[in-house]
Amino acid sequence: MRRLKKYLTIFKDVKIPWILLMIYLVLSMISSHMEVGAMTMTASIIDASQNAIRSDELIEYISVIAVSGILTIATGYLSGISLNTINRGVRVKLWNKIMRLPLSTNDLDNGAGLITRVTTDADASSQYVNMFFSLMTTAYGAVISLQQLFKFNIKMSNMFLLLVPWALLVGVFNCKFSYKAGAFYRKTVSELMAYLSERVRNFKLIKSTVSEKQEKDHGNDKVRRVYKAGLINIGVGQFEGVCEDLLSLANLIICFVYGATLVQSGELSIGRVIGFYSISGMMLIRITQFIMYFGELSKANGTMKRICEIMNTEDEKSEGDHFDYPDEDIVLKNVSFGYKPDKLILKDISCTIPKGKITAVIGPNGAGKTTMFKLLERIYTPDSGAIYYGERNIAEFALEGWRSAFSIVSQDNMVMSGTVRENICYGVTRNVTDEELIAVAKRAHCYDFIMETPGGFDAEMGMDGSNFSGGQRQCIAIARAMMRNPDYLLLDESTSNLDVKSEKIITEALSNLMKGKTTVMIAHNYSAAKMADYIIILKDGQIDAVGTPEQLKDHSYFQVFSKRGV
Amino acid sequence: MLGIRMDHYGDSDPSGLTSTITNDLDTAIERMVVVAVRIIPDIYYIFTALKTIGDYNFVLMISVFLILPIKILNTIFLGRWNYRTQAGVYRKIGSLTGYLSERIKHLSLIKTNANEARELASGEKVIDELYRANMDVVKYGVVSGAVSTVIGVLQNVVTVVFGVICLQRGIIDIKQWIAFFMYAGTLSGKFDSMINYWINFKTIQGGLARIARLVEAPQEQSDNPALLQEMPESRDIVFDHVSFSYGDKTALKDVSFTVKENSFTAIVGLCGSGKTTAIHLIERFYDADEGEVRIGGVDVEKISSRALRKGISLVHQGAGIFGGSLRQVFTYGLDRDVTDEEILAVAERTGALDYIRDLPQGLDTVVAAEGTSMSGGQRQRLVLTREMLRNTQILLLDEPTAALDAVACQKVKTAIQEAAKDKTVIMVTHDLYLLDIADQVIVLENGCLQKQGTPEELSGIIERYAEVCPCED
Repeated sequence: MRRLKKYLTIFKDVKIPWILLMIYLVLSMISSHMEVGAMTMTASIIDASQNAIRSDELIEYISVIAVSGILTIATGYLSGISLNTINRGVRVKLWNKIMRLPLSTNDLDNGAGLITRVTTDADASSQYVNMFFSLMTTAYGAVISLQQLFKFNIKMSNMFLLLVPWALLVGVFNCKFSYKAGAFYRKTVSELMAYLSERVRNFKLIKSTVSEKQEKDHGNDKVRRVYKAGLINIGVGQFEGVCEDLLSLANLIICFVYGATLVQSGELSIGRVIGFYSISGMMLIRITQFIMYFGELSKANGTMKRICEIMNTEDEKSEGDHFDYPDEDIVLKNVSFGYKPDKLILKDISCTIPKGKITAVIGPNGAGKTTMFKLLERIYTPDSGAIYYGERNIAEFALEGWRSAFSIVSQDNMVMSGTVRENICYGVTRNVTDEELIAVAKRAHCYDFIMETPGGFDAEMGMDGSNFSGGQRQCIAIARAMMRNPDYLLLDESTSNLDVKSEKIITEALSNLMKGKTTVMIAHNYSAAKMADYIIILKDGQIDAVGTPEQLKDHSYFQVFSKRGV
Repeated sequence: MLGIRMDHYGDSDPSGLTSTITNDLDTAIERMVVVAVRIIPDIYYIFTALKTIGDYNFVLMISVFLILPIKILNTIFLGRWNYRTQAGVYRKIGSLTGYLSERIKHLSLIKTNANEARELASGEKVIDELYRANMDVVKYGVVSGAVSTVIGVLQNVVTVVFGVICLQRGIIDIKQWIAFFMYAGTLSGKFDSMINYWINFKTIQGGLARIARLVEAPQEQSDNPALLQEMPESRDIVFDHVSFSYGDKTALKDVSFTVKENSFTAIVGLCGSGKTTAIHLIERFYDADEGEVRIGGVDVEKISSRALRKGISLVHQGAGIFGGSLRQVFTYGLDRDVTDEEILAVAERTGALDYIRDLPQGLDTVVAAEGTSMSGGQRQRLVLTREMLRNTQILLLDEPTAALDAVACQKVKTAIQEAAKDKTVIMVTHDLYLLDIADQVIVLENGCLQKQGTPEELSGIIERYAEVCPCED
């Protein structure tokens, strides 16, 4: 029950079409009545036809079937609308929540999990509601059927009741074992798929190392496991089928054998025997269905829990002081940080990023440079120590204000689908004139290739900007940074993965961008770091050295570093 | 599929191939078996039931068929509509997923640009589209339900009317009427089943076609006795007027050059100039359309691909590895046993040791599938170590330093310089820093050999040809 209450929070603020759902319930109940009624009518038609067929009875029968059909359609439609509406509401709520989550959640999850939340998990929430209502309607249907059975004949109904616990048992068995068998089978299949897709994507490796035979054995092994799991799965399914058949058989015997004796003693008519058989058969199915719905509910538990987790994660803290102070140095004081508690990436670093200057942070892979940037962007907060802006801790400022003061150009030049214009003006709220757009594009060295592309500024970038080359995307990202014209620039290896030609162009565009601003850049080679006024060398999460290029010219790492590149 | 030729593999989309082996096969076989097993009893039932009814009365039996044409038409038209609406839903789910994954990937961009409100609005729009697609499915359900009801009612009317008429005329008695009534119900169900079998059969056609294509794909022939089963003694490599095209896209045009034994040759060129293709031709992933590639004077097409590839170490651009322990990664495809000390010694030379040293479980550390738990730079050094361990006479490298920083690059450069003393090394690279230790530089442009010479001879012009190309793997 407590769990249910927790799940209810998922639907808070989601518009639930209560009226539609109530109508759906009522109509379902009427539909159950009609179903049972139709079968009862068959009974009296058959009985009456001993003497004569009364055509008005037949007409009544056919109209009952017709109305029943209409009701089924109506309930289907109503439940469809209601569930889809709930579905949409939960999705929008999840999407809203994701927007407000701290960026650190996204980093750890790598995004893929969050996407499933909004696409398929949201579905599970409406399915949950659906199952609930299905439980109610099935139960109601079973009760009415039972009522009718007793109306037909009490003795036979009592016999029938003996079957009910067995039906329940079959339902429970189905829930437990076939679910487990199915899950195990799916697991072996997904292992096979993962194996295959890894191998197929790296076919070259198998061929160049002549490992075909090993892989053949490896693959066969995985296939055998799927086979065994499949056998178990089928076995369980068949066993369950046999149980259900046995139940039907038992029902048949009760109705026709025991029923025959009742007919002979005049306690029951033939028509009613047939009616009883139809209704009791349906009831057995309803009972197993009822248990299965319960099973579905518990299967959905996992998904519901995940959704709850996200809903209950704290939003990113957005309050704080307004950030509108004159240029100051950014100072890191004894900052330590690790993504995981036992592994520190940055160990007690203290350094100054001087205002108005270009500072380059260099060091080997994994030294902690990108991590330092993430702390500057306030995606994460330091485990100990703090970053100061002048005299004030940056954590005091409101996130939005702090972040708007920075522009980031990184190596994975984040451009998205949309037009070139939309990407360059991304996040800019003021009206941008065409002249301004062209001027910025020229300074970012992308005007020429944009004009050469059909559509110019209105050309589509493609998913992740795939319609343009790496160098061109980078220029557009720089144009965006220029358009926003922030006071601080963070450049994260913005010229890596580029060839010499493109790198020259980008570096020029960047120097245009950096004029008059405080810049912190992570540089991977010397041509990128050439313009720096101040260098910070990070190694193994600690400051190895700081100083101007002149001061560092005898430092070993710096020597190797500056020999590279043109 | 392991045996197919690389050119066929190149034509197909890898995830499509995986899906063919698993999903297509699964569904096809499942449906074929189900149909095969159930169709016979069902046909038997239909015949017996019809015969029994026919014994009662011929006309009665015919009446059962009256509804059949309507059922078939219904299945065809509604079936198509159902397929379209379902396909619509899948498409919308796909675009929602695509939209979301892009936004979530760039979430920090959205946040730093304070653009949340606008993204929320556009996200809602996409979610709305999915809602509408789902409602289309519901509407379809309504219509198909209505049609089924009507058919069901008609069915009942027909059976009842015919049955009553026959009863009143004394053609059949009440027992037969009841039996007929119940038969009609089950027969209707069986007809539905038969129609479904036919539909099942048609749906697996697509999957079966894909499977057939895979099974019939041309295989590589390794065991042909006419081929040389061992690598030739001397290991110089010669390209003799080699031309090759991928379909109608020319990759190499009349390219000729010689790589002397135990030397280091670098190949540079802009993207699409044919650098990686040259490497592929040496490995015989593809065969030259014209001209010959020779190793030690022997045409590579005359050497069995097994012997050829065993004698060449390839560090390819994607630096692919398979998941498993680090030890397994290093010894993948290795024929001989190596000790841990040997592995670590080679790792020291390539710089991979720095990474291994920090790991608490050392060589037993498990690496995720496709090496996603490591950075690109780490993977590159691991792959280089692996190929150096293989210690073959020929070493081919395709962009081995793309993700490495300055210091790591320096180490790799030294390692390659050492290796070139007793191996024939060919390296495709855009990194000008690595070229000064080369004995020979070959410049390709648009598939043609543009320039050839020592690094000094080409020092002014090489810059123009250095471009980073996207990894094709």
